[in-house]
Amino acid sequence: ACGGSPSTLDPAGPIAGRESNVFWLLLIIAAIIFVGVEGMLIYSIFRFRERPDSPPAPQWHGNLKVEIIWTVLPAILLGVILFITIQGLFDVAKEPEGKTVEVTAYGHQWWWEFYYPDSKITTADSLVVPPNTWVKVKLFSNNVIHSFWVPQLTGKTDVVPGHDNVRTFKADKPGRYTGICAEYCGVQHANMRFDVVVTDNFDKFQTWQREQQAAAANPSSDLQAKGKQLYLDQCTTCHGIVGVLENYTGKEDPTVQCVNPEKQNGCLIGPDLTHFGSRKLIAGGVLENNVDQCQPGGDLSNCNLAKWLQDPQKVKPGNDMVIGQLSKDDIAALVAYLESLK
Amino acid sequence: MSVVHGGQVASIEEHPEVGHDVNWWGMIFFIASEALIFANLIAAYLYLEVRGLQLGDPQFVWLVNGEHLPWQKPIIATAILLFSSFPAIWARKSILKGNRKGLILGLIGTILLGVIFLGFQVFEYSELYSEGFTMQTKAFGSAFFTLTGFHGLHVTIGVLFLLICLIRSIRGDFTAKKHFAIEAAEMYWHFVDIVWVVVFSVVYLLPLFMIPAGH
Amino acid sequence: MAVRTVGDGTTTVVREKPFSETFIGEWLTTTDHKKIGLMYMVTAFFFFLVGGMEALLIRAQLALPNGQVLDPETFNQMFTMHGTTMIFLFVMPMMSGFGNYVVPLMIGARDMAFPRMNAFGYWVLLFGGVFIELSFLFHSAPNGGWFMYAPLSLTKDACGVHAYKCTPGMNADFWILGTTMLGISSITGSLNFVVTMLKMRAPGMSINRMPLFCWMILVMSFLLLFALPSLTAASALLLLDRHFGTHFYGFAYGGDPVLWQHLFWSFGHPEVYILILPAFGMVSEILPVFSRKPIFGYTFIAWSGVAIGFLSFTVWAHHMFAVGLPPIAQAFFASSTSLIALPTAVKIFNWLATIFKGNLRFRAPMLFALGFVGMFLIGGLNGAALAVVPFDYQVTDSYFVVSHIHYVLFGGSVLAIFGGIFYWFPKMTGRMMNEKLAQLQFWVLMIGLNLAFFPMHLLGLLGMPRRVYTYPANMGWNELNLLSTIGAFLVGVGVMIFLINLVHSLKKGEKAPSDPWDAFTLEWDTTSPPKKYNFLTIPIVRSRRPFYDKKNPEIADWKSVIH
Ligand code: HEA
Ligand code: HEA
Ligand code: HEC
Ligand code: CUA
Ligand SMILES: [Cu+2]
Repeated sequence: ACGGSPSTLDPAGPIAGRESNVFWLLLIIAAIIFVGVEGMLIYSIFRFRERPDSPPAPQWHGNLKVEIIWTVLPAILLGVILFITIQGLFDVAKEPEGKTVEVTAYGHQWWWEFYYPDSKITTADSLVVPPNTWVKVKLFSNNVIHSFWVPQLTGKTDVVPGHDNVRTFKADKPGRYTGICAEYCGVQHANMRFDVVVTDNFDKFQTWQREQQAAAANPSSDLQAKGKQLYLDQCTTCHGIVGVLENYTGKEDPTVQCVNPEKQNGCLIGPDLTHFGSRKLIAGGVLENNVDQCQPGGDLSNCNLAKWLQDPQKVKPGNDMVIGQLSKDDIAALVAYLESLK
Repeated sequence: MSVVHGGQVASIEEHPEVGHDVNWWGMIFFIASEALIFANLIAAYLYLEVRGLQLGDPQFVWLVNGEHLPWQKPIIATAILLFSSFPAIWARKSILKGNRKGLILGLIGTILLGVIFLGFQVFEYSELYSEGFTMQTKAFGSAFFTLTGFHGLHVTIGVLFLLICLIRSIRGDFTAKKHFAIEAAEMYWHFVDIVWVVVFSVVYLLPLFMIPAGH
Repeated sequence: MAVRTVGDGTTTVVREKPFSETFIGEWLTTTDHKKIGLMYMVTAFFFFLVGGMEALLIRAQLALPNGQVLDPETFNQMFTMHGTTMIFLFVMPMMSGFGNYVVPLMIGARDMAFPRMNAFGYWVLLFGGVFIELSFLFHSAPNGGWFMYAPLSLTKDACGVHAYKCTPGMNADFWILGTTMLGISSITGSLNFVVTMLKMRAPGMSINRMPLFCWMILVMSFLLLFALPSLTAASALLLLDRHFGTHFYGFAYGGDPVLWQHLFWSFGHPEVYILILPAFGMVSEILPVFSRKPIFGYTFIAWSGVAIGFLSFTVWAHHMFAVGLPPIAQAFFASSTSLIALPTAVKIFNWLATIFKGNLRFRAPMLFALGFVGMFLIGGLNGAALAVVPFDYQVTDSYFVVSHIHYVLFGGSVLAIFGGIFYWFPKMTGRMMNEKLAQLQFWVLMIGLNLAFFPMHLLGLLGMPRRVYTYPANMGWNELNLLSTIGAFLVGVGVMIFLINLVHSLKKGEKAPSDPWDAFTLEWDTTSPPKKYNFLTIPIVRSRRPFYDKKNPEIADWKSVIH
């Protein structure tokens, strides 16, 4: 597999591993059939070209025996394939044993929200999980169909409104894996990626959870304080920050809160920003959150967050963040504040 | 399938007239295709009904606590529609014997019964709507009105078809030999009848036997 | 009547031609199956160019990461229309065109059973096709993908909380109404085919002796008759949901988006065999003629087509493996899907046996037929892989599926269509096509299509989802995408070569004899092009190769084979 690709053939967990094993088996079977059939085809093409001295072609109309042979042989092969199919199918569907981490993945148009019911954390764009632990992802959407896919960890499961689909997977190796929305879900389906961050060990995962449970950090500079005020003035209709936005706790289980159109209170339209600075992606992965380019006082021309705030509709045409033009200074303040929310 | 060798061939006509003619077959396949639209709508109806039961939430369950649509009047309508097939048969049998009067009377009878059926349906719809049961009432309302409405549309088309036949019979277009339109109209009418039996059973009778989850 | 003065001053009375006898009028009012067939084919080919241009735009946008050729909305309209155009407006009408032209000739009939309905079907198709494509003018082309999944295709209320991001515009309505029109056209067409083949065969032409192309058109027609109603019903419910407030597909009031998928794919899967069966038929005609052998295992090829037809109604949920159906259901659909590979295998092996020990003549139709076998095999094998559920979880909705689609549809249907055109062109126009250009086109297409579509397998395995208007540069997908785009444009060059050949041959092509290929079936036993009523006298049939028998009376099939 090429470096950097979210390759299904470079699995990092048992589910994707099982699936890629199936692929290699199939490849072998297919290669045999391919070589056999194409070989026969090419042989005939070279061998039986009409020449002036060709004898008349035999007028064969058929032969029951060979028909039976070439029905039964592939039938046996298909039996083998079917066995692989059904065995693999049930393997992948198995309920996990032992300790599991539960997460609700909420597919928005066009970004992912993750809610951890045990620790009551809400994040976006970034699914943080411990290694060697089964993760049970409940898939939820109240809009259109999305599909949850982390090629190196698990194949796809659709996120269908009104269906309680669940995908379990486990990561063997710490690292960062690309997650992708794999069901066409509207204009920005192409930019609906997320990060799966597998922590080094379970303790680190718990530390992360504790950090996320905390309310947002207080501004530590005037610039940040200005950013906070700007947030309060302009962004609260769509974004929540715990400890800053009044009555907002971020601890809402979307599967309960956001099912029906009438009950949309508590389901803000934009991502939670409480710990935005700790995340690596912006708006469904349309940009990387390159913190090092976003240092206060520095030149923000390469800062992706600044680019986003400058014109979210240019970066991701059609997305739901429709805001008025912000001034350069306001952007600098917002960047300083948001990036400080580790 | 005929197996023909050498000499036998000569005796076969160009288009041997065995069995039904092309028009009849055309009509059959057309009706089969229409029937499958109904089959799909019925499948959709049942799918949503069963799903409502599975979800269990009263917002989704179609009929809670043995509720059901009033079925007494629809049963009368059903009887009328079923009965209307007889004058249709009579119409065709009459023209087969060259009896134009019987043809006209048969057609009129069928059309009248068809219109009465439609009247029942309009009446039922307006009653249901006034009680607040509409196309927007859960998936049930949607499925109910779509299925019965689609059938109503077919009865209407059938009636129009018969009306055209009636006008043409009054003009004297049909003879004992040449009357395919009558045959086609009759086939279509039987089809509309039979479909109704299925629709009626699914929509009115089945719910009497469905037990919602958790009740 | 008009009075006209001729040059030397005398006056004559000339009858003014009625409209139906003028050149245009003749085509507009014709009910002749050959003219209608040609109109179908020309129209379909026009839409192939439209769909192809759409494909090239897609490929141009994806050539490089962060492409800027199309904006996202246009891109989405583009792939939706590309799929819809290629399937509903190119392959389906093209097959109807071939069927219309060739079937009555092959079975020794003078026309189709319902000539006027036949004309009606064509005009509805043309109208529906133009109707759908015109949506581009309003920048409201359908944008929900060719299978229009609900709830994305719903309007406001039914869709969900943030509803305005579904399809509030007319986009989906164009699709619903357009495909319904195309459906009506196909229903009339297939009804006509079925009745024609059941009732209009020449004496002695038992079903068992019909050329395999006719068999496959027959099966295709039954599939259309029984599959299209699902699409009609599904679309009707979608329209009701969109405009009359019903709740079939919206989840909030007890509807279910998955219902759309079941209804759509119970049409959609038979549909893909509708697209390939006539191609199987064409190949089964071409291979024997150019091998100078009868088709091997006629009965098996014919009945495996029927088996495919039946099975195709039982496999639809293999498009829905990721939807979350119960594992038992998935196991069932995986089994039925694998089963369908068997009758297809039977066909492939019989084709191989047909060319085995033949005297192969590599004229253009033969090249395309052989190319078909080679390429369709690749598509079929990766189709069989897609049926393996745990593997499908990884590659569904990825470029792997896009690759499968194009190997079966381009490597399959389209190659066969070109083969068919080269095969029957002399019969249809009375002229030969240029053989050199045809062979050049073949090789350009073969290289182009493999370059365009093979890398897509790898892209899918490397995690590239389908229907994305852009991708970041750091995913390792760049080179393969570029390669694929180059291949696509090469295919475009191949199609250009065909166009040149077509125009050239129509004007200057060598005159075609009535039987240029030394063929076996009845359509070659009449003039090129055939006269209005096809045959002077209706032929009498004694075997599966009536024209072969006529040309080789001493070794005629009916003397040695009984069928
Ligand atoms: C011409 C059209 C055509 C044809 C003929 C086929 C043929 C087959 N298709 Fe394909 N298919 C499509 C058109 C077609 N398909 C399209 C358009 C889609 C995508 C729709 C969309 O999502 O947009 C699709 C999608 C599709 C899927 C869903 C993928 C997904 O979305 O996840 C699946 C899954 O099972 C599938 C399977 C198959 C199989 C098993 C066959 C079989 O019929 C193939 C059988 C042939 C062979 C297997 C080769 C010959 C056999 C042998 C030489 C014998 C030995 C072989 C074995 C033992 C394996 N197809
Ligand atoms: C018969 C069916 C068929 C055919 C023939 C093709 C042909 C081609 N297809 Fe298509 N394709 C589909 C059916 C087909 N496709 C379907 C069903 C989908 C799924 C849609 C969906 O997701 O909803 C799809 C999707 C699809 C995609 C994925 C889009 C996405 O998921 O984002 C791509 C991407 O590369 C693609 C490419 C191509 C290419 C390069 C060709 C080439 O082979 C095209 C070759 C033709 C030409 C290049 C035309 C040549 C014309 C000229 C040179 C111009 C001359 C012009 C004038 C004189 C006016 N197709
Ligand atoms: C009209 C609603 C709306 C308003 C007002 C709004 N946003 Fe957003 N914002 C969104 C939506 C929706 C997204 C997600 C877009 C996507 O990914 O498709 C988003 C994404 C973001 C992101 C990326 C978050 C992530 O985790 O990916 C940031 C940062 C952000 N907005 C900051 C702001 C700031 C700062 C303001 C105020 C100046 C603001 N937004 C005002 C709707 C809004
Ligand atoms: Cu969400 Cu695609
Ligand atoms: Cu399929």
